[in-house]
Amino acid sequence: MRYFRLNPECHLSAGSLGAALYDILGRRIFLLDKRTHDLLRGCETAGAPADHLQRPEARRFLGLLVRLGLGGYHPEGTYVDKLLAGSPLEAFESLGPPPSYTVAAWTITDRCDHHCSFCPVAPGVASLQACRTCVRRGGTAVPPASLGNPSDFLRQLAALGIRRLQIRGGNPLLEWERLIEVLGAAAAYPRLRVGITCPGTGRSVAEIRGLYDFGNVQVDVVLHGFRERRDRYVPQPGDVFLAQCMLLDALRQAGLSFSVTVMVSDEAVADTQFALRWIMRRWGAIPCFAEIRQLPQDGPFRLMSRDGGRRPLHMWRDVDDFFHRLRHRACLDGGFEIATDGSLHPCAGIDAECGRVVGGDLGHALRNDRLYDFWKASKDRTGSCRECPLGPVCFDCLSADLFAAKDARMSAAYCPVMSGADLHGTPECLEHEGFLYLLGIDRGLELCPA
Amino acid sequence: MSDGSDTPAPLFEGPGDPHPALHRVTVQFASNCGNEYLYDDVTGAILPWGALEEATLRRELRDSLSEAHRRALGTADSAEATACAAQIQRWLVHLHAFARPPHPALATPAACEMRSLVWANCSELVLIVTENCNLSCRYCTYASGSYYYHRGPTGRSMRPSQAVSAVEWFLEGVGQHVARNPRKRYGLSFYGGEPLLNIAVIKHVLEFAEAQVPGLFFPVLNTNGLLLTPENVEVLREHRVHVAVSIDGPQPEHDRLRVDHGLTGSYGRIEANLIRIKREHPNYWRECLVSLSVYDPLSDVAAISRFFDDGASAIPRSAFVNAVGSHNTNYYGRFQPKDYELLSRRLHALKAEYMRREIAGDRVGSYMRNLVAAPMMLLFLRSRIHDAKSPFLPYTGCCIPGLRMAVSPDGLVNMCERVNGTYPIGDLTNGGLNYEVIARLIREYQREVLCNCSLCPITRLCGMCFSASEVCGGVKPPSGYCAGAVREAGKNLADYVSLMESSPDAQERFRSQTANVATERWLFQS
Ligand code: SF4
Ligand code: SF4
Ligand code: SF4
Repeated sequence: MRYFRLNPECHLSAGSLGAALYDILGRRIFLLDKRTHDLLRGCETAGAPADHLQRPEARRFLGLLVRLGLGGYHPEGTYVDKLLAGSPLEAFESLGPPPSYTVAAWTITDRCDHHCSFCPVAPGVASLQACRTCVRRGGTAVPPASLGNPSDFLRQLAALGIRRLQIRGGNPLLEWERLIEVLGAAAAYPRLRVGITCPGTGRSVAEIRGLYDFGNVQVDVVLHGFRERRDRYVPQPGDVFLAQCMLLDALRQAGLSFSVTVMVSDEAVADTQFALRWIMRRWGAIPCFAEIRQLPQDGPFRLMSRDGGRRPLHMWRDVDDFFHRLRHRACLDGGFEIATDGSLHPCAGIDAECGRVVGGDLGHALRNDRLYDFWKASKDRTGSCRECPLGPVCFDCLSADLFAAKDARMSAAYCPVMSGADLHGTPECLEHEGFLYLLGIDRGLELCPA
Repeated sequence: MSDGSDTPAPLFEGPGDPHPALHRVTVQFASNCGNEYLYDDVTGAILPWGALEEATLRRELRDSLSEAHRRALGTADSAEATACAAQIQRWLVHLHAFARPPHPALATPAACEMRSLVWANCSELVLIVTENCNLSCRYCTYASGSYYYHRGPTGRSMRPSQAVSAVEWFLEGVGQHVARNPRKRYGLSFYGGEPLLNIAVIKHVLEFAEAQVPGLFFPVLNTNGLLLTPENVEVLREHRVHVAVSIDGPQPEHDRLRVDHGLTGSYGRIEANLIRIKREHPNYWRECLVSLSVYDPLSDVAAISRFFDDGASAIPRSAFVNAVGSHNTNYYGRFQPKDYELLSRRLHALKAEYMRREIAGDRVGSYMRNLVAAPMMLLFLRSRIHDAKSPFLPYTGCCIPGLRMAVSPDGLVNMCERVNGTYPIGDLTNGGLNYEVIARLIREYQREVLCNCSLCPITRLCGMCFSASEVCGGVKPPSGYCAGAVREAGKNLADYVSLMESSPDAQERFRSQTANVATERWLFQS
């Protein structure tokens, strides 16, 4: 008697939100209905075939799987050793290779010259991709903790292998002396790029342009939103937006690198398509939209970044990447944020404290497992995503995942799967590049609309 | 019936083929119940493997096909044959599985690259604090006189200042890498002879390290246990030194092998020390003490296993069990064929008992697990396709010389405490590590040991290293080693899958047990 088993390179994943079969080498994903999943799980674990396996429809279905290269028939009891990219036990951390630190955000001040309605973030407000913004974490401004001599601190960052330092606030341009000191210290490390996330105000255009003289510096301007939709948008004299436009115009003209983030607050949500076109035309840059949204008490709620309500999925690059995604959080991996008070966080959007820089000693703050637990917090960190089979192809802002998992209004707007869409029934809610299929005993094989 | 139309074209297309001739590196084996498998050394994967798979792979690799292979291809259901070919092609294309180019040129190490390579990857400082011992064990590589080319007792001991300079030198070397990896910790191992003969130096070093770099080191000590006096234990406990005590079994077994210079057994004295430690410091005893054991053809391994199973005794749980070293020795000359047969029967019975217990989910004692299940656990942990291996030493279990640094009382640095001491890689009295020498040793190992490894189907499973290949004045694998290693690997693979076949949750149990094994292997480097 021969029994059906999935191939070693197939990975079966299931939770209460649905089930999926990954063909790791073939780079395909098959969404399974419950009955189909149960059949395959049974094939994976049971020594002998269950009755239903003998049914013609099940046998026909397994024949289809054989033809798709997903499994085959083997003698009874055959052990299928699953394909792995690495030894199943990670070396215990302190013995393994160094973590690859790539980016550090350093919030050098909580001071700001604006009074945006959404800042600091209030409880119950969803802030997506806070890492790209200057939105403050909440509470009142604390005087910055001394992290010791900046050149000593920069030396530690460089020794970790950090490639990008993102200086942020509040408005870091208000801490001008300190900023200059930090940039001066950073200039000693030519491979370290420095970004300054700021509203671009509080200093003259010439002064801000002067920051580029330190080399490897880029100003990342956060626009506080487009509040008015007009066919021809004309910045008004005296408004903050005008000052920001003048800065960006100057940077563009001088051929200097910069980036633009647009805060999408509740007032500005309708203007995003307009803003995208306007910014592209004026500065030749594709802006990042960072939403900051107060959830309504009642009534419908829609996230701009989920226009059409579809959840974007991304194919893995290779075997290594697939296994990496099973275990790591793409957006956090390699980064951390040092807040104004010296506390260490996975990113500016996450409140959890992972350590504290004491006496300027960054190593001390990094010498525990908490930060790395976040890096490894694959989708299993959030209750809903833990139950979802799409983790390895769905990566997004963890702080948004966490928020969405806690609040039904947000989850409905953020992820249709999280809010209960039947993965097998309504796959239109998933956005992909043609790698997603529906597979079932009854329905056979169908390509999901891409 | 398969025909050309639904069979994908072979990957390697005859003349003009861009792929050089590849050499197949796989091991076919069967589990106890007769299911067939293939171990692939390129990926480290194990695949169910039948006649159709074998014939298909041969066709893809353009190997010769026997009549049986043709039959397998001819009689297979066409859908199955197509799917099988597609699967094998995917493994060939995406993972370059099953075969590799023979004799690729290995990366040539240059002295200038060695400095950063060694310090970035080194894991342990071993201080040989004395070359004296208060026992005279019959199998000791060091004092028994049974091992050729091996360093022997010299009576030398390290001075406190020497030991501290060695630690300072090590800290200087690893400094920038600690900055790169704030969680990094290093082993600090006290070795001998019998290291507790020089407790003054151990204490001095521990206090120095604690004051200078608190928490950076995992201190470890290998001892025969005679000097685990209350005062010495106090020092070890205060610094949470992990201690491995050599205990070969119950008194008769232990005293047969581990005797003092007057040929008196040492068991009673060691046990008394352990009883006291367990009584006075039960947590330290439980968390930081383990036993190391060796056996020879006369060892009653079943009795020893029962001895370690006795939960009431003060003997720490077993962490390692090894056979008495068999390389460059006349130790085994004293045994008769019947001794080997007896050992083989005993091992066989113990393995059967282990399998029975593991499958039934019954408790398995620490000695039994280490003696019979260690090869299976190591298979579970085996390296896979993306586990990095140095391009200089891509095959065998050999590490780059310098990843452990064993400093002896005369200031010479050896690549570990097991090598015979005739090819040090540095001298602390004369400039520290010698990167020229390290590069030269790697080249010699490449030339003498790795010369045929690219053709070998078990390079990921092979335990060969410098110490295992030492000959007078150089390295060379013992004759017959490779054939034996491949045979042994085949047996271990068969045991491993047999266990996995019969116990679906063995995989999960292995996962939790091997975490310990991996840590302790690293700590005590056995
Ligand atoms: S966010 Fe992604 S992982 Fe989480 S439930 Fe939605 S689709 Fe699944
Ligand atoms: S969780 Fe990720 S995407 Fe979200 S703010 Fe943090 S780093 Fe950015
Ligand atoms: S068994 Fe021999 S040929 Fe194979 S890897 Fe080991 S030393 Fe090389």
